[in-house]
Amino acid sequence: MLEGYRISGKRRVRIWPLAVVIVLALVLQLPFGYSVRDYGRRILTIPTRLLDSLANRLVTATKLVFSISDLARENQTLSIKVNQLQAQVSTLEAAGTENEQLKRELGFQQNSPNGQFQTAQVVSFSPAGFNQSLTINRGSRDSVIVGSAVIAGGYLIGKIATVGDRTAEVWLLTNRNLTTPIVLANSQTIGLLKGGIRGLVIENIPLDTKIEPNEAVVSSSLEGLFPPGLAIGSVEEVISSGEDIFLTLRILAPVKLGNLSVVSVMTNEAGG
Amino acid sequence: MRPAVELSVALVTLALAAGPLGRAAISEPLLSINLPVIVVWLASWLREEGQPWRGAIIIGVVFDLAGFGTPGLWTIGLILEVWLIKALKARWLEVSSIAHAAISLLMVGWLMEVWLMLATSTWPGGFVTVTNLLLTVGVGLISYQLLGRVGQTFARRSGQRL
Repeated sequence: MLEGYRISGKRRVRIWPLAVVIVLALVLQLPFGYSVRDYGRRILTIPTRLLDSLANRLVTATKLVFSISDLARENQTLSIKVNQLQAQVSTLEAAGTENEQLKRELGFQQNSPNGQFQTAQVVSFSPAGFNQSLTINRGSRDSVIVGSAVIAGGYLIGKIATVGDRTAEVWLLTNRNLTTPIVLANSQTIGLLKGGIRGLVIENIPLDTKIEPNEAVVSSSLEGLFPPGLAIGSVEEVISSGEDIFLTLRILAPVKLGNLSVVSVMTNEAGG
Repeated sequence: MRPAVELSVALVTLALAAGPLGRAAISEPLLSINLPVIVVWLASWLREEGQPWRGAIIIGVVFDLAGFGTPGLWTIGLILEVWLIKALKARWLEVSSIAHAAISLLMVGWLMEVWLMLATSTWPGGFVTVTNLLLTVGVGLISYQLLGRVGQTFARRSGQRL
């Protein structure tokens, strides 16, 4: 009898973790569970942000120590670049004015082409690194909806995948589950952008397409996923072999995803 | 360990995994380390008695609450990990052997990678998986050695026979 009690006691010990998980999983599936998780996310990201900020400061301080000798030379190069960019800005301003006048003349109704933006802070990153996603501190209460484009430094970096009350999950363009339709700016060829071990690559480009070096890559409105014309990066190189029936291009995106702390979410453009 | 200590460990693990380590993994996907797996493995592998389940559940629940994945994703994965470690310790592997420790960590790391891939339908590719697994095993074994040394130091100070 005593042996029987011991065995049943052991079984009970083995079963209770599973019972806890099943109950928890069921409870969190209820509408009440969404609020609990959203609240949990906001609370639990506080230590994450503190530690992340501390680590960033340490990394920055270390980098600074090792880069002092390069700073003077870099400063000189940057001064030259600033002058060049100022000249370009003047040219673009003139072109912009001309563009506005032409649009007015054509009766083109411009509804804020870049949409409305919500600035959001990056509060945490996915603990499973291969997921390539992050969490921001804006949610449905801030008019963020699933599919909204997420932008950093003027470049498209991902889309909203899941929305909570005050938090949202962003899938980065490097996420394996996200395929982004794009357009090559010069040839106006449409392709599909994917993330992976080779970085950001564009697939399914016809072989006869003439690829310009550093050709700009922008989003396409195909599939209704993103608004058209958002900058993504530029063509770095063709990586497909001679036997392939389509071209595969590697893309250089100027935004360093590891340095993200603030992003913008487009709130008036509905996505897929 | 008391639940409060386990909760503190869970919060620190989350802060590291979703903070600096998560940032590093976004920047370079090959640098991804599965920290919760290492922490639960250390707790289950090094402790002779106690309730590793409770620690695994607390860490799992904290990660599930903080993330957007399916509820129970981390909790179930970490409980599976504890089950596997208990089975390995009971039948085949010796806790004091570093080689056995490496084998067990490799197995639970692989189990967790496969579980996360299946549960999230994300296929990062063989190279990324193997690299992440090796990195997790490397960091886990370094922590194992360090904890072993710290444990010995504490044992000496308290006058225990080693």
